[in-house]
Amino acid sequence: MLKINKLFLLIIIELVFLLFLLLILPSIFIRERPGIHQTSFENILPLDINHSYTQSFISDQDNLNSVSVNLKNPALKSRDMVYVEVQDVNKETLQELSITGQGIEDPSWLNFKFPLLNSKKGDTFLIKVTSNAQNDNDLYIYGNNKNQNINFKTTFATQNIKESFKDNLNRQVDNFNSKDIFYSVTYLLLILLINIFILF
Amino acid sequence: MQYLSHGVLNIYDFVDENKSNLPYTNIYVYLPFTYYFFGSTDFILSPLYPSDLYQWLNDWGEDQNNYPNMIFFMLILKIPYLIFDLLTGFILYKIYKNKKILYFWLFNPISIYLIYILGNFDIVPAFLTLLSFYFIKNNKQFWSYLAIGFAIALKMYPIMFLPFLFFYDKKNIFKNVKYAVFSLVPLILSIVPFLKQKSFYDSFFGSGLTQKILEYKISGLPIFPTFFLLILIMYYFSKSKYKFEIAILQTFLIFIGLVNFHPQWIMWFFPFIIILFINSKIKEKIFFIIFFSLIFTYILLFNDNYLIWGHLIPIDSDFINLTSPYQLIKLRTSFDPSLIQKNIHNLLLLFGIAGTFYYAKNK
Repeated sequence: MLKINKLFLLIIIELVFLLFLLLILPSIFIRERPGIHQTSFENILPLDINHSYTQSFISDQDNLNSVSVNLKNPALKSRDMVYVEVQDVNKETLQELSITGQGIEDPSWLNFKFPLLNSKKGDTFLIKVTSNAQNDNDLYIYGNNKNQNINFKTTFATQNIKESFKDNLNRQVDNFNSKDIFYSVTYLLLILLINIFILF
Repeated sequence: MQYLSHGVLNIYDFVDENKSNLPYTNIYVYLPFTYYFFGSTDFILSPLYPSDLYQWLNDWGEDQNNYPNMIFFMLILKIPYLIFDLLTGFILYKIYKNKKILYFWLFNPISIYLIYILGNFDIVPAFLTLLSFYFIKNNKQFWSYLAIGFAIALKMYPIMFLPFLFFYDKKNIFKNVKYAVFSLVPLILSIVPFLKQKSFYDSFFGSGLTQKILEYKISGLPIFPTFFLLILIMYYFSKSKYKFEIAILQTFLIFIGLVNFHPQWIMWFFPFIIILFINSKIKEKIFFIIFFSLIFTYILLFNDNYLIWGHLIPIDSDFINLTSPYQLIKLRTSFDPSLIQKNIHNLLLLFGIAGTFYYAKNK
């Protein structure tokens, strides 16, 4: 009887530990998640006063809080400015950010972070990239030379711990549902057997 | 290890010939027996493998963290570790006849971190080394040297423990001379077929433990071997009931302070030192806690996000996007995280030397 009580106690402790690992820990630490991205283009497109680029995307999560673009500063020579604007579907500027050539490597992903926008999943955004570089071989951006689309990444953030917990709970449920039920049951059975083996 | 099931007997030649076709980092730097041992466990466990396990093992691309059954893969692959973990607990119980040490071994966070979170195979040679100690305590010299022989054939480090076994019982030194040769038999038998192969030397000498052990020198004299010799001399003359465990603890304290260690290497010593922790006075317990906290901080400051947040990928793959403590310090403060880590290592050496002398004097 004592051993059965111990087994139950052990299982309860393990369940609490699992809940901590699966629900609490990610909710506390993961407050920002990667969202829609396009990273496969390998052409280098000139970025200067005569060449600017606008990339649209439909957000796949709530609360956009950063965009990244893939730039190239050959031999790290350029000191020109690069401007990145995040616009809404009506081309109204929501965020405007800039960087000098000194901060651009050959090549590098430049992450532009801003206070999270109260956006919703399904909202359309535009990323507009311009530069004051005079020559067309000073700075480049990675994209597709046929349709002028550019490589970009986005991140989305949760507003508070409650939202983070809810978001994480949904992810864990989705994650669990995507697992093969046979393996999930076998996993739990094995854990139970190990507990029994240790105690008896 | 998966290649043994596919009939590959010479892993060194196989890697050498197929380097360009193999998945990223698939370079083999261990001894031949390690390959045969884990190749065999792979063969035994293979009926339990889900169909996409090998695909996951060979996937070094962006999708490697997005396999829905990843947690199950890990459980299956760690079954051998679980068995050796339980066996280590059992041998500890047999040696000390104390249930407290069994439970401490099974449930303390350090064992769990080293065996299941880091997931390296060091628990296997660690178990064999402990088994060897169990046999020598029971005057079974042949089995003792054979057990440590298999440990050495898996990983070279248990050679460090051989002198302590040899001088464990001064009355049995002649018997030890007779049987000590068995400690090298498994290693020699397993490497003989590869001795003429360049690919074997190229692979095996890439790991660099010996180099790390000899790294710290004063006036050309390597410090760790000097301390090791001193510990061995003290051990030879010691009359303590726990002289073996104390010698291993002293070696551990100096090793951690002097060698740029990988966290998994703590496992080599850990089964031997927990009895000293359990039976220690409060001030000694505080010493252990401070020492291990410093080790933990040292590990946290590695510039390797896979060693920090990477362990939590099976829970949520977005953990890997978090900033490591190293990067956090570098980006948000004016401190150099490598320098902080180096100073913590120096502090570990100071504590290590102090602890070594304390145990030499008081135990």
